Amino acid sequence: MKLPTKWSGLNLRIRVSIVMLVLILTLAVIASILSPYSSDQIGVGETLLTPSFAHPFGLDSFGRDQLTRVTEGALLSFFIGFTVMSISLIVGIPIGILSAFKGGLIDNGLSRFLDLLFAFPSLLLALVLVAVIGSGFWTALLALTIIYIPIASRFIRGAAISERDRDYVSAAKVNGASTFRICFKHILPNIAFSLLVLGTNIFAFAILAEAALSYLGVGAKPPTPSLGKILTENQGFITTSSHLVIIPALTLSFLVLALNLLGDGLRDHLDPRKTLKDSKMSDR
Amino acid sequence: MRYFLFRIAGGLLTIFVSSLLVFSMVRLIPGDPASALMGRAFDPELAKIMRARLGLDGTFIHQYSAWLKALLQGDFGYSFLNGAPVGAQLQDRFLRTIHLLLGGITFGLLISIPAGLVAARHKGKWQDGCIIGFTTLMLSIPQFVLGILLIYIFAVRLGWLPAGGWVDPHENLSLWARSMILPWMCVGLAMSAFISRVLRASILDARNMEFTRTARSWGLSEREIDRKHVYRNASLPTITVVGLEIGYLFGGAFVIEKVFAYPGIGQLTVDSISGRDYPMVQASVLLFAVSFAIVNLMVDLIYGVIDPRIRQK
Amino acid sequence: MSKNTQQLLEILDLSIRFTGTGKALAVDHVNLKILRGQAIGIVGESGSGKSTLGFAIAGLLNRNEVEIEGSIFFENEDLLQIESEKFQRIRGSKIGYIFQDAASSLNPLLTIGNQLIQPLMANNGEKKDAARKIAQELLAMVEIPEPKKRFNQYPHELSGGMKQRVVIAAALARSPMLLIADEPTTALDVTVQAQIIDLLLRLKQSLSMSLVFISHDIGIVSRIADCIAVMRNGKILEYGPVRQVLQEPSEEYTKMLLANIPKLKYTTKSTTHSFWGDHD
Repeated sequence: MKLPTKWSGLNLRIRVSIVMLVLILTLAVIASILSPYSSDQIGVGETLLTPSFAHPFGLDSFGRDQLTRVTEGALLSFFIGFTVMSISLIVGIPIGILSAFKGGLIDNGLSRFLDLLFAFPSLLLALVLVAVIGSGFWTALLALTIIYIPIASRFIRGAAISERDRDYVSAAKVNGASTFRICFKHILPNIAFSLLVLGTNIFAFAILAEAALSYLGVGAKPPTPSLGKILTENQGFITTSSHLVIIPALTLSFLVLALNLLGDGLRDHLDPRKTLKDSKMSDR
Repeated sequence: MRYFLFRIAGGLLTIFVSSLLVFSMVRLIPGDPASALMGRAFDPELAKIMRARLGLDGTFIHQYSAWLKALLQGDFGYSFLNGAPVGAQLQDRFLRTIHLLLGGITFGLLISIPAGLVAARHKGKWQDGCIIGFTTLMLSIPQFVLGILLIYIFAVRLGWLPAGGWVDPHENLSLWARSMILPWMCVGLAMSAFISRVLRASILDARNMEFTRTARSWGLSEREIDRKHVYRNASLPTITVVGLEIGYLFGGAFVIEKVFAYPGIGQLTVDSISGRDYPMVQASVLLFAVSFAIVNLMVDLIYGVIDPRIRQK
Repeated sequence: MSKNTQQLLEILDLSIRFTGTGKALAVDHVNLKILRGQAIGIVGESGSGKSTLGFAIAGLLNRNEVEIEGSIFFENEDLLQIESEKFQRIRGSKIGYIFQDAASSLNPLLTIGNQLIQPLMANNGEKKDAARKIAQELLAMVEIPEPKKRFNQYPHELSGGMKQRVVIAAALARSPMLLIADEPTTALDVTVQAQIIDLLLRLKQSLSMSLVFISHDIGIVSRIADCIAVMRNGKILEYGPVRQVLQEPSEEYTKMLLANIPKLKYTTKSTTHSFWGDHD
């Protein structure tokens, strides 16, 4: 599986989603830098002000500028998604591949453990974990990382298992390659693409999970402008100042949509089944 | 046959281990309930007595077995916060959450199965395109955002439906029904996107499989082939996905209940976690875990009925 | 030889092209005649068009994916001109088909019995109970051991050879006049291959049906066919009685195919025994 190096080599979905992500990231960064307010500065104007030139997203019930808050919230989401994704992949890859390759007791033990973990809905685990560690943005981050490491490991293990019985692995073994070498120089590159797709999924899930936790009140503590927290704070005003709710809601959806598109696009790029289907009735 | 027994046994084991896990996790939560309850009037002597009353003395094993024994007799313990029996409080709320989830699941299946069938039948035509486009959209909107948007559209803007809450159906059936519509829609729409996608894809896959061609060579009509082969084989991945979605639902219940201010078990659990109300947390988390395990078990069993190869393992 | 009663199938100037693959013809102006009770072997490499030809005769090509010209006369009726429902009725009852990979030819979720009764019950065929009885007899006919037990088993519980027998039984369920077998032995062990070939020979005799045997292996084909057609790039290069093609091939390509099979020959006093049957 070759990693595409040219822009034109990527399909439409990937291109659109990357554009979306870059767009929102740049806008958020620019807005954060340019904004004369800070996200927790209250009373910059009349409370619940409708969107105006000075405050394009309006002001909330504390008189805080919503543009500042939402863009900072978007950046926070990016941050949390990226961090959870990176750490869970970095930790999950060695665990997953090694466990799949070694097999035996370690692998068995790991799958049983993972099965047990999966007996709980993940948000529930997150909730309890947050309760143990304490609520707050950083603890939510920690809790999500802890939860997504097993999720990533399980997926990676699955992918590695379907590779380990392949001929090139046996060939490498026969040639005397070490476990480390086989796992990381041979198996890893072959599953790299599906790991990329996994990464986008985890990114998106982590953003959603953190938003959910903040929404429930156990994630980010005020005045941290996590998008979920903003939604909780503003939901009561949905009848009078609906923009306070709609804007963060759409921002969140936009981010998730872009990530899902990216994942879909990568998966399409990876999956050659489209061309195979065309030759169903031809001679073998 | 052995497969079914094994799976059921596995399910029971999972539940048992879950209870152990829940029990220990809760004990990890920092903070001593006794001191929390007593606040300013903290007195070490009294605290000791209180802890004994709350069942917090003794070793871990001691506490666990006592809890388990009581549990099996139907006694869920008493809440730390209000002293009332946990079981009674949970019961109503749990039932309400079940109403919400079941209604949502039904709604979801009612949309997704026809959608998947229609999309597969009219593959490539406008019906298919519409359904795919719609599901792509649905898949990208986070569930609670969907809820908020639904409230915005139907309650705030159009004013057709109430924005959530709950009314006792015995008192006012029509209001109850109307207040359930949006939550059910929210749950149903969110889960239907993936299910209809998978159903469509698996029907198309099944139509391309070798045994479908064999059936055709036997002179069966396309309709017969669909009935006897395609649907049966397509149901397998679909069932798996339905199980998965229901699983997600359990997690999503918390958030949905908050969005619609629905007095189910979700909010109660969140509050009792922050409030260190051990018995409440134990009981409600256990309830969740058990329901989850039961759903997974049922999915596995149904799968085993349809796919004989699984039974062989 | 009276044309109408002895001739079962006549393919006239048949050309097939898959839409979207440019101008390349999968089947290129093919002419072929099959008489009743005759066995024809179609030999060629992958991509020669032999399977496509087979599909075309049985009506298994997706009309949306191909362009077809020419005619296929079966019992004096052009199959390419009749409605699909009629073609559907002819399939299964008059034309049977055996696919290459028996393992995937059967639905893993249904029992053997459940699948075997399908061709019997299709198109206003037998009722369920009668079908079940006939299915048992079919299993016996293809020489499957313990037919009653196999009836209720699932495909994954059977060996490759047994699965192929089941597939043959299903194809023959309505005693078709023409059986098309597309590489029926390729996926099997060599010893099992021989058994299946023998079975097909016996069935051909006892049911007096015509057989089209498609394969890349000219050796196997010559064991079972009366006449051989060599196909390449959609065209039939050479056609003739099996002995003639084997011993005096006129085409370079045929010679090449023949040269590539291991020859085991030994002579006794009166006959030459070769790997694929005896010739004098």
